Amino acid sequence: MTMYDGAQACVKNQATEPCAPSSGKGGRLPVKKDSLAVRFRKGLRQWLAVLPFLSVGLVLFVVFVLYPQLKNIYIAFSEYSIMPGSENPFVGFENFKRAFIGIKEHGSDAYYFWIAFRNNLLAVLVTVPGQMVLGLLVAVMIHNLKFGKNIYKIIFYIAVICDWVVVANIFDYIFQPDNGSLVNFVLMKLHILKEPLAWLKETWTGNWVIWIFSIWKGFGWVMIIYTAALQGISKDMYEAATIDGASSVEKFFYITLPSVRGTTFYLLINLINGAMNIFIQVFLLTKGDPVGTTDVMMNYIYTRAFSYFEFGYAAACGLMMGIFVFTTAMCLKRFLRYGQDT
Amino acid sequence: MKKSRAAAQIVIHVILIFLAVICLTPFLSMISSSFMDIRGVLPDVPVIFPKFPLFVENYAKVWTANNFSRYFLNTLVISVGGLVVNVMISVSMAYSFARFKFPGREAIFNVFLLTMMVPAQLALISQYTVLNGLKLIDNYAGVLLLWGGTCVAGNTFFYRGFFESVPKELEESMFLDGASRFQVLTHCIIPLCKPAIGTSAIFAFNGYWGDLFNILTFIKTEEKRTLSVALQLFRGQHTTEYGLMFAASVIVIIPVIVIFIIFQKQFMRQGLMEGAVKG
Repeated sequence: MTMYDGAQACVKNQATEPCAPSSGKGGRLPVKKDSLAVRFRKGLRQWLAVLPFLSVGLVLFVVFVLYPQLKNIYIAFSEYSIMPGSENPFVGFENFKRAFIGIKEHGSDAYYFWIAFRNNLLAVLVTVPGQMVLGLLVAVMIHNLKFGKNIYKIIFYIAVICDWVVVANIFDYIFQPDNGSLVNFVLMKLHILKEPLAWLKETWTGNWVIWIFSIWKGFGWVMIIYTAALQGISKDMYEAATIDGASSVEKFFYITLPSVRGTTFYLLINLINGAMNIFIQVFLLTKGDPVGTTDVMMNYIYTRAFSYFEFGYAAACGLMMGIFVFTTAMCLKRFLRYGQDT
Repeated sequence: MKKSRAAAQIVIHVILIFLAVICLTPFLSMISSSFMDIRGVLPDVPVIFPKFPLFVENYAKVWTANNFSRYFLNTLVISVGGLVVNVMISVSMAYSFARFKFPGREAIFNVFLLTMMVPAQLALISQYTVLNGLKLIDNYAGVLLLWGGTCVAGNTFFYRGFFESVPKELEESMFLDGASRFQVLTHCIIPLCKPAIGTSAIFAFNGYWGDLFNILTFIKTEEKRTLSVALQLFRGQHTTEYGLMFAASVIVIIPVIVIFIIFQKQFMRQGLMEGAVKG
């Protein structure tokens, strides 16, 4: 039972600091410092207890995720060739330099690198709020319905469950440059457009199609996760708020939003990660055309690796991206959990 | 009071129906187009509703000229396998992190978080060398193990919160009655977190169903291909034959939609932990 209590205390601390064996900071019980041998034996016992649940997943994780990612760091610092028996000499920061030298020159590696990076940032700014707001609003609306909850959930979820290739086919089709493509037709009927647009052939319309595609396919996922979270909020709080005379808007901002904060964090991390990893949309719709101006990092890296076989440079770009995304996520974590410890 | 409630319900329905129309029109357009003989130039007015008589030859062509029944079976086998591996590993991992205390727990958890931030496709080269070393290229077991490894970080992160929110009183009473850790997991945590597990299982299953890059990279034999890969290759061969391409697309997604509609009733069932502690 003591071990169990310790775990709980630890979980409570976790929001503010990593779970080190806390030296009595703010704890109810002063923690007694054991000798090293005792602590080692205690740790060993705890590991033996958890091992049946932990081992398989941990081994697979190390073999298929951690090791490949560490090896990737090595590749980033070398002139890597996939051929068996090749030398793969260590080249230091050469691969990283290529992404910074000659940013202003058209056609340099760095030029296209930064265009792709810019497109990723724009994708984060457009698709993450788009999916979050739309997904949460639809989830709240569905949650408050008396009838027809499930049918709406199914409808908004269909785009999520469909294969990327299928929905990319559809988007390719409705954004065709002809008069008769669905989007051109509707916009011309509404007199928003005078002439049909070649959506996928121009930089900004191409980017917007990619973003709209991402939001259209992604917000149903946000909605489903939020509806699961909304079901977990106790009704007592809403009843109490109603008695105190709170409006629906107030209830939304003071009860709903704080209650789903953990879910929001999970979704934000995932969506930002998703927007930074936008790939299949670009791969299937524009392939980065015209001349790399709708390109994104993943497609850039993938092309560099598998079309030009520049694995070292591709891995270096990926590493920088990974560091960038991770730093962003850590800042978010600090920001969102700040002072929340309840 | 009652009147305004009813009005609010109607407003919500109107907004949702409007959104639903936007979401569904492209699909309707696809299904209708799959029953028409469209190639090269598009018709002047977009196809939204099917035109009768239906042109079913597209489907016959796709079904006979391409090995779609075989691909369907392959996809089913590997998706179900992936789902089982995924749920078993994720649940036991999340339980370890939610309810056990052991040295290095948060360090490992932070490593999980760290790896989630790294672009997934990048590891493809190194993952290929690992599977190659294990002699598991062109083998479903290799893909399943890979999926088992890649689901760990994200799902541990996702489930942990749900598992931690299970009231401790329930578990304590089970321990007092002499239950083991495993029994607590299967009889208390899993039933109470069913909605969360179900939700995540849907995502996992359909991610595996539509997986493109892993299968494309690790499966070489044509008979072992899945629907997504087959459709992508099909798309390359029949770029402007929209009718034919959409017939193939419909064949690919109809099973997904049917499975989702059948299972979502169980997965979306309500009544989480409320009331479990009372009394």
